This record gives sequence, C-alpha cells and structure tokens, in this order.
Amino acid sequence: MKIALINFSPSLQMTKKEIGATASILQDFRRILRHNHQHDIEEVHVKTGCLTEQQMDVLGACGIWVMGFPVYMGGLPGHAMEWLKAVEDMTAMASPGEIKIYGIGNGCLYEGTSAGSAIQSLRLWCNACDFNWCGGIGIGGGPYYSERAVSQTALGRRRTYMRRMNTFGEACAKGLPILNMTCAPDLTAARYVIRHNRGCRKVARSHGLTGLDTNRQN
Amino acid sequence: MKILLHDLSPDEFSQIFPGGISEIRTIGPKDKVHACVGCRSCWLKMPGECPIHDRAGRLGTELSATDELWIISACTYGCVSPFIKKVVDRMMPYQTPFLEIQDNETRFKNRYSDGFLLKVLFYGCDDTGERKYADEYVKRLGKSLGVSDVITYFCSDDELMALGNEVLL
Repeated sequence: MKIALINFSPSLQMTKKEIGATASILQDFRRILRHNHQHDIEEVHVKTGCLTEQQMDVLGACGIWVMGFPVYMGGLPGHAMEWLKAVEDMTAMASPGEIKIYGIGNGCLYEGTSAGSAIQSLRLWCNACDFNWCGGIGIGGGPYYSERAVSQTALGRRRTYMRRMNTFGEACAKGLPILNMTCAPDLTAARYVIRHNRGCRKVARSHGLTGLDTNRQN
Repeated sequence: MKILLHDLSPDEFSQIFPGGISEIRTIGPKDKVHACVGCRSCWLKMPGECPIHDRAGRLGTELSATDELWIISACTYGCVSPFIKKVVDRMMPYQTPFLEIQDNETRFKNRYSDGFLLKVLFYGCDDTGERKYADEYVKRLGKSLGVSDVITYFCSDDELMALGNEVLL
C-alpha cells in the first residue's frame, strides 16, 4: 500500500542541510518505514491552506497518510486547518475510498502532550471525512531533532524518541491502529529548559541582540 | 481596550451587532491575515514584532494594551476555525522564546506581565465530545498566554444571533 508523508511545516527549506524539525522527523520515519519493507512512499509539503490538484493526484493514490505537523499555539497550524477543511469539503463531494490516517506532532515544549489537542483535532477531522483514524504521536522537544536546531543544543541520546517512533512506524507499515503515544527528550525538564534558553540567547546574540532586547516590550 | 476576533460574514456580524462596535478593535475575514510562516523573527531577530505587515502584524503589541480578548468562532474539529487559528498563531510575538516551568509543565514566558480576560464563543457544534476538546483547547491557550481568566460559551447556529451580543457585551 502506498504511503504519503505530509509535511505541514510552513518553513522554507533553504538548503538540503537546513531542514526543519518536522522534515527531520519525517525523514527518520521514512527510514523506519523502509526498514519495515515499505518503499512506496510519496512526500507532500503543505505550506499554505490551498489544496492543489497535484496534491489531490498524489494523495488519491495513497492508502495511508502520515501527517507531520509542528504545534502552533497548542494546536494545528492555521494553514493546516484550512487545508484539512478543504479536504473535508472535497470528500463531501466525492469519497476517496478507505484511507488510514496517522499523525506526528512536534512541539517546542518538553512534554509530548503539548500536541494532544492537535492530534484530537486530526481525529475529529477523520470522523468528519469518514477516514480511518489509526493513531498519533506527540513529540516533545521536537525542534531539537532537527539538523537546523534553533537553539543548536544537542539532546544527546534519542533513545526514547527512536523507540516510540519504531513502534509507531511498525504499526503504520502494517496499516494497523495504535493508541496515541507521547515522548519527551531523554533528559529532565529543568535541564531541557536551561539548554533551550541558553541556545535561544546564543542565536539572538548572533543576530546582534542582547538578553534585554529579546525580552523587550514594544 | 478590547479586541474582537471573529469569523462571521458581514451579514451575520451586522445581525449580532446591529449598531456596530465603535470602541473595539475587530479582526475578521475581510481583513487580510497571512498564516504564520514559523520564521521566529518575532522571537530572535525583531523581538515582539512580526515581519509580515498585515492586519495581524502588530497583534502582539495590541494584546499588551488590551483588557479583554473576545473570540467568536465556529467550533472546527474541537478547536477554533481555520481563520481564527491563523490569527491566534500570529500571537507568538506576545511570548518570548524562553521556557519556564510552572505547575510541573513547561511554558513559554510571556513578554508582558498584565493578563487580559479571554472570552470565547463557539458556535455550530452540538457534539459534547467536541465541545469538551474545544474547552480544553481554550483553557490551554489561556494558560500559554497568561490570561487572568478564561470564559467559554457554546451555542448552536440558531442561538448565535441571539446570544452573541448578550454574552460578549
């Protein structure tokens, strides 16, 4: 069965090396799918709320859609919600057949549960479109799995992340439903906060800002 | 100062607020609002300012001066409608990029200390499950924005015309 990896990050990809968090996570997921003998994979990047014919042609041929998205203000990005609404309107006119949906949400906060609201929104969208909701995973500390980490702070071990993604990937490769999962980075929340803040200050300094500037009130 | 975000058509808006609203800043579908592109300029290059110059470009600063934020939104997949979500995403300049731990949870620090009252009116949803998720979303949003209080209302499409004005004003 063909699998579509849908990237809902609106970020521009500057070079092949500078890929964002969602793209990095989907790359890891692609490797896991290949390890589970799934090689027929399409990639779709949704940067705006418009549903294009090219996207419809690619997605219409896939039986499994894996939706990777960053968590914005506790939920799905606004353009992603527009796109989902457009798909719902399209399915109301013509049913695309049985499609299985998986969700991968990544947020900057430490807890993977920060993606919970967005994953519930995806599940409710599946009900509205008559798709099969097969499960989601919320990844805490998402940006730090990216090669273009905002704070340039390595998380070190990725043990929990890879274990959970492997379990999720195995279920997706077989098209089986799985309970929603979360994962947090392999270090304590306090240490994560310290490293994140230190990294943000470093990036801000590289743009000529001081700590006071970053906190300024306009 | 009060700010109203809504996703109503002009006819619906004039039915709910027949006399118009003079002292309240409104953002609605007729205003051009671009979705957040995740550039993080509002955090790390031009703190507090969004580089996209549209109606929501100065939303972070406007929120700092507001006493109440009202949202009228269709309940879509247990969350606000796509248009309102685009506007909410543009509130990122209201926060700083730094994290803190509060109540055993990580959260972004707010740039401004004064909280405002958040009132949200959802319409078009009768499913209690979806209402529960929408309520949780609004509470979470209120926590992340550091609001003083959150009040959520639900009504059907028919009740919207009658309730909208009473509930918010």
